[in-house]
Amino acid sequence: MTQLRPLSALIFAVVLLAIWQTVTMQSLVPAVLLPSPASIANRIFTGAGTLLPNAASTSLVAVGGFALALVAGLGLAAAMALSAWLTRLLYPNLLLFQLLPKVALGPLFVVWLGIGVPSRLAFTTVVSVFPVVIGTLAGLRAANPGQIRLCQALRASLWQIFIHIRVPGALPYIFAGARIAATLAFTGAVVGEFISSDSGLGHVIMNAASQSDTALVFASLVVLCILGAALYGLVGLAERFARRRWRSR
Amino acid sequence: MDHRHRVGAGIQSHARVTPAAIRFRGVSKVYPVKPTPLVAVAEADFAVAAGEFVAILGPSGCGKSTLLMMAAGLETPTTGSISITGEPMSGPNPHTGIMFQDATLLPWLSVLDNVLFPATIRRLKRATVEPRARDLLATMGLTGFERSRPHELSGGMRQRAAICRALVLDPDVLLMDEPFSALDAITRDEMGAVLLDLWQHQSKSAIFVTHSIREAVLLADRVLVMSPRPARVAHEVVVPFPRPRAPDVADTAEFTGLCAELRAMIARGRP
Repeated sequence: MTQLRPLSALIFAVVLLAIWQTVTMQSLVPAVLLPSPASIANRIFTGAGTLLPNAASTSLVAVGGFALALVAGLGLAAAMALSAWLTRLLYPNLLLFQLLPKVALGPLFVVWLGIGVPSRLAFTTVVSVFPVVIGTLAGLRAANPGQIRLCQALRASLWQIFIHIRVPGALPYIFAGARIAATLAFTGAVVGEFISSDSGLGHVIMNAASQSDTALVFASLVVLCILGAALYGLVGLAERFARRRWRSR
Repeated sequence: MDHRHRVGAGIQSHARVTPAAIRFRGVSKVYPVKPTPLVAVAEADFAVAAGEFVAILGPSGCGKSTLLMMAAGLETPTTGSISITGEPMSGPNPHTGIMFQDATLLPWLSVLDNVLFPATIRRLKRATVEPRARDLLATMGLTGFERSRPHELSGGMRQRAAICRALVLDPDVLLMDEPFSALDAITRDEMGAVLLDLWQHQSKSAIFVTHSIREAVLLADRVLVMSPRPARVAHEVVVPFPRPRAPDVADTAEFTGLCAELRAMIARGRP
């Protein structure tokens, strides 16, 4: 694994912000196209009343959809790992469906479930479920044949092999899928809000852009970035915890 | 020397009062591959007496591992039957322990938990098995490594942990499929000594599949020399060295002589 170097990355970001600030202060770019970092920071505070409740709304949909995607994805992959028949039935269709840009399904969910939270939750789940299913299934199938043979020699049941060999062996794959799903969940939530909604950061961005309040657009992006990083970090923490529990290297 | 070795395929003459630990009766294994079915084992007919250590020696790919997998219940014979302590076999037998070419430890478990893994699968109370597991680890020189993870151990230590795991439920028969073949020469010798020492205190039967003549002669009471595929017992050689046996028995002229004889048998191929 490449080691993260937070310090050098931080310096780079600060330099970038400084350049951005300088360029915008010289009025080289109109503020409506590119507001200065300082004005964006300022907008975060003046717009907090708008940003906070809408951030909560987006988080609810993103985290809820992510959780549903985890449950559905793990369940689906586990079922396929335990049943070759189900795999034959589902897997090729899943792969085919994965090729579809899921975002294009957004309007359908509005037709089916309206513009409320349930509609966006369902849409977010569909957008983020695939990496979980594919990752988990790959992990469960990648089990070491020697370890399985050992279990068979001990007369282990299929369920014991699943719990004692396949699941711990699949953990790195499961978390790789979950990390991708965590980022897709915010994509799903925001796109859902773009399509149709009366709340959420996606809604704020659409409104602000139409009113040329570019600073508020950027302020919303900053909040989204923080939220996304928080969910991603949470998945990372869960992985650390799980690996300490099972210690799969 | 010849009077000590009964050479030939007729092996039923091992008359003991107790039933054989393992008996193969006309066991063949045919894999139905195209265009011609692959005969891996043909008419294997032999018995391992209680407490006897039998080495199955043969060239790579001769089907000797298939023989062991059938003894472990992981493969079913196409024809013939196998019985363990007089009972006909159907699937893996709880009275056997098994070792593979590599240690096959589970990387997410500690060494102790790996040794206790058979107890976990059999749903035995941990407390009843743990003392024995710790004893075995101590015998194998792994005290202090109970909480280590497999990747923190050397290859030899991992394979010693695998021996502990194979023995933890006190099986009557230990099945070993080239257990040291993935180790370097020095560790291999060391493992031979460890196993030899272990056998001074154990009254278990063992089948030890190997392609190392030295290892076979050092460890076994009897060596079955397999023919090239399909594997059949081409020769049977009783190893005359009494137990307790020290590893330096390998330095005697008698030992090297026996090794040379076995090498010639393998070279000749079929009987």
